[in-house]
Parts: sequence; structure tokens; C-alpha cells
Amino acid sequence: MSCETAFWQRRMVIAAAFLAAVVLGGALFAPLIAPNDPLAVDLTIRLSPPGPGHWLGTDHLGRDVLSRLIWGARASLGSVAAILCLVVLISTAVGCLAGYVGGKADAVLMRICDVFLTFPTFILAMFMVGILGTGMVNVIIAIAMTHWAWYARIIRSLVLSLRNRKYVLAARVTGSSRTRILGRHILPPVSAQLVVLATLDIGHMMLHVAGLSFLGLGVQPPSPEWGVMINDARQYIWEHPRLIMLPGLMIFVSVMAFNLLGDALRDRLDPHVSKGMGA
Amino acid sequence: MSRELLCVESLRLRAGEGNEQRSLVSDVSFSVHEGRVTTLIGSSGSGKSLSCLAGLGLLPLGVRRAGGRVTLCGRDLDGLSPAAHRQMLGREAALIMQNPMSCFDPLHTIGSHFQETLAAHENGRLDMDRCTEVLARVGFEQPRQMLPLFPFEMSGGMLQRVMIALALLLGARLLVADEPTTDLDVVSQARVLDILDDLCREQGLGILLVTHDLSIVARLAREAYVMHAGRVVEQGEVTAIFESPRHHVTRELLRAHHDLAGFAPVDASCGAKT
Repeated sequence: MSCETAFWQRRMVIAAAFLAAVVLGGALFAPLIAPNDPLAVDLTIRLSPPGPGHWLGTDHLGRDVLSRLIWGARASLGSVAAILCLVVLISTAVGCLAGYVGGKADAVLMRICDVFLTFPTFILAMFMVGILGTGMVNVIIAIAMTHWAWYARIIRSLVLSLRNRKYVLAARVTGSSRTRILGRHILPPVSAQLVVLATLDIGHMMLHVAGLSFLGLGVQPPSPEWGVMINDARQYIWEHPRLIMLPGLMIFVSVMAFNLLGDALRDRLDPHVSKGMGA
Repeated sequence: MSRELLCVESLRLRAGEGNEQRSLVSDVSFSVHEGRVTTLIGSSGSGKSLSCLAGLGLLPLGVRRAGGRVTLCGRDLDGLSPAAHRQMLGREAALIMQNPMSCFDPLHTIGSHFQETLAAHENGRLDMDRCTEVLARVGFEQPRQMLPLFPFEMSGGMLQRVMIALALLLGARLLVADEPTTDLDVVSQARVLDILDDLCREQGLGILLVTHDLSIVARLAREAYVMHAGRVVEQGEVTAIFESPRHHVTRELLRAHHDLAGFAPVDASCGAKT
């Protein structure tokens, strides 16, 4: 890799990290940063252009767009964090069980995975929300349920390759129990890969959450969420394009930032990919 | 008669299921006694390592014992609960493997490996004195300085000695050494063999040594079993086998060895000393 590309890549990563940090900061400190109440309706100032008091203007109900964007980051990242936690928990349990215990457990669990892998995730998630009912919690469950199978497969294959290492046999010879060997020798290397996978998937999950909310299946209208905001702004797309562009821009920027970060992390942590960022 | 530590009787090992079954080891019997080195000799793939692992009850996935009895330190492995079996491993029997570089988890220090072994049986506190004591026994002059090192900071020969130290940590009486000197340079080889010899003579440990290097056999062992294609083809005192090999596989092994290493008459005082 030439010096120049490495330099540009590094710049991209720094920019991505900065943007991701801004989004994350907005999500964490939304109540402190947001200038106004994101739910405060004031029909007298509806659809007002950007100006002092409302830096990015107001929407069709006179709510402050900037505040709604900041609170939207919280809804978006919060649900993604919950989804990833669920996915990692389920898939680690399934992957370890299938990979380490093997035999019948492996066969049964992997067939269940296959079933989930055959459906397109978004359609399956919509179907699940249809069964469970709309709402944030159900969206989280639905998206987690449609994504764990990918992770479980990867974790299983990692566990399979690790369990045949000689140091695992050495640990067994000293009389270590299965759980201890899993915790000490198998999970640490697995978790390194898992971090990369999860970071690469943050953007993807954000799109899912926003997509479902846009369709009215996820976060319900009064609460601020980017997908909901885009949906609200549909009728004003010609008169007030900023109402649809701003949340769109937020989704675009944060998905891109997290994808770039994930790529950089993979380059750093995965020994199979090239030497990594201009180090 | 010294105590019998490991007794394997008419062992049969198979892999695969149903019509795909293959026989890996059939009708193999051997025993290991306190204070003696017993060797399994044979070319690669003759079933030596598998027989050893079967002796410890640690067969790899996909391989199972289709017949025979294994008695480890006086207890039948078949009647043993997994927990009781775990308790015996480490305390009663330990394994030393070939290629020591891959036998240590690269994420953990040497001290952490010691702690793990202790934790498997005791409270898991790192007992510095005991660790340094066993490390000193395998020839480390500054054992305390070894503990914070990572495996990749040590040489293969050092790691092999650390592995022996780990095996000694809980006072195991039976050492199974699966080609302990492969991949080591000659100086380290000599050192490891000296340690094994010492342990056997001085401490009275029983050692099951797997090797294809006949000079090691001549040097250490008293009894040998020659394996070929999953069967024991010849067994007996090392001197007898070397002087008048009966089976053609043994003769082939000896001839190949002599072609490679030059002829050296077996010194009766070396192997057969008690």
C-alpha cells in the first residue's frame, strides 16, 4: 500500500471517527444539548425557516428540527445498541454450543440457523413486527431475531477452528472444565472478531430501524426518530425539502461513519486482510 | 513390582459413523509402570498418538473407543464421571506434546498458564513458590522471571521445559510424552531428555514416550512397543528388540535409522538400568 493512499485512508478514518463521535455524543447527551423540547408543538411557528431560536427551522407542527435530530440519534443508536447486544448474546450462546459441544446440538441449531438465513432480513423483520405489533421494543426484537443466525454461523466456525488448537488440548489435560476453556481460550479471540462484525453492522442496523420506522412499524410518530421525521416530511418534499433532507443526511452520515470505522477496525484486527492502515 | 499407572487392554479405536467407519487402532495393549519409561515406536500414522490420547481419555472429536479397557491409575475410565475424570487429569496424569510453540495460548502469560492449571484443581491462587520450584526442577535458573513472559517471547526448547514444569505442578505420577523432542534443536533435545530421565529415575514417575527416534528409545526406555498400521507388531525389552528384531517392520525401522544415523550398538547399561 502506497504512502499516499494510507495517508488518505487514515484521514478518512479520523473523519469517520469524528462524525461517529458527534452522533454518539448527541445520542448520549441529548437532553443537555438539544436547544428545545423535541415534542413541544407550536403551530404558530410551523414550517418556519432556519433562524435564531430554531437553528434548523421547525417542522409542520412547529417542533424544533435540530432538537428532534439530536433526540433521533438517541433513538437510532439506542435501538441499534440494544439489537447488537441481543444478537451478540444469542449468537454467542448458539455458536459456542454448536461449535464446542457439536453432535446433535450442532446439527439442530445449524438447521434452525439455515431457516433464518433463507429469508430476506427486511421482509422477515416486517413480518415479525406484523405479528408482534408495532413499537420500538418489537422492532428491536424483530431485527435481532432476523440477524442472529449470521453471527451464530460465524461464531460457530471460529469456535470450531479454535477448539482444535493444541493449547485447548493442553488445557483439557490439566483438568480444566469446558466452561473455563471456553472463557479463557475460545471466547477472547472470538470476541475480537465479533467487535469487527458488530461495528460493520451498526450502519446496516440503523437503516433497518429507520426503514421500519419510516413505514410506520417502528418508533411511533410523536417521538423523534429519523425515519419517522422523513415520513412526516413527505408531504412537504417540494415546499420544504430541508425537512426530508436533514434526517436523510443524518442517516447517510452516521451509516457511512460507522461503516468506515468498521472497515478500519477490520483492517487493524484481522490478520488475514492486508497489513492494515498506514502504520 | 512397581505400581501400574496406565493399563490399556485390547484397545480398538474407530472413526466415522455407519458405513463410513474406519478402524484406526485395533487390539492394542500396553502398560506403564512407576519408575520406568515405556515407549511406543512407529512411523507417522501408526496410531501411537491416538493410543496415548485414548489412554488419557481425551480422544479427538469423531474418534471413539469401540472396545477395550483403559485403566488410569487404578481406575477404569469407563466407570468414571466426567468430573472425576477431570480431577485425575493434571493431578495423576499429564501430557507433554510436540511442537511446544502451539501448546500455549498466545494471549496468556506463562504465569497465567500456571494459574489456570492450579485453578482447575485448587483455589486458583498463583502460588509463586510452587511455580518457581517446578520451573527450577526443569532447569530454569531464574524461574521467577519466566512467569510474566508470553509464549512468543520464549524459545521452543524453553517452552517444552515449561510444559514439563506444568505437568509436574500438581504432582502427576504419569507423564505421557508425545514426541517431546520433535521440532527442537539438538541441545534442547538433550536437555529435555535428561529431565525426563531424571524424573523417571529420581522421582519414580512413569513415562509413556511416543517417538519415532530410535536413539531416544535406546537412551531412555526399558520397554518398547512397535506399532504399525494401528496394531502392536512387536513388544518387549528395548535391548532384545534392538538386538534381534522379529517383525519386519521393526527391522525396517532399525535399518532406516542406522542408514540415517550410523550404526551404534545398543549399550545395555543405558536403557535397562533399574
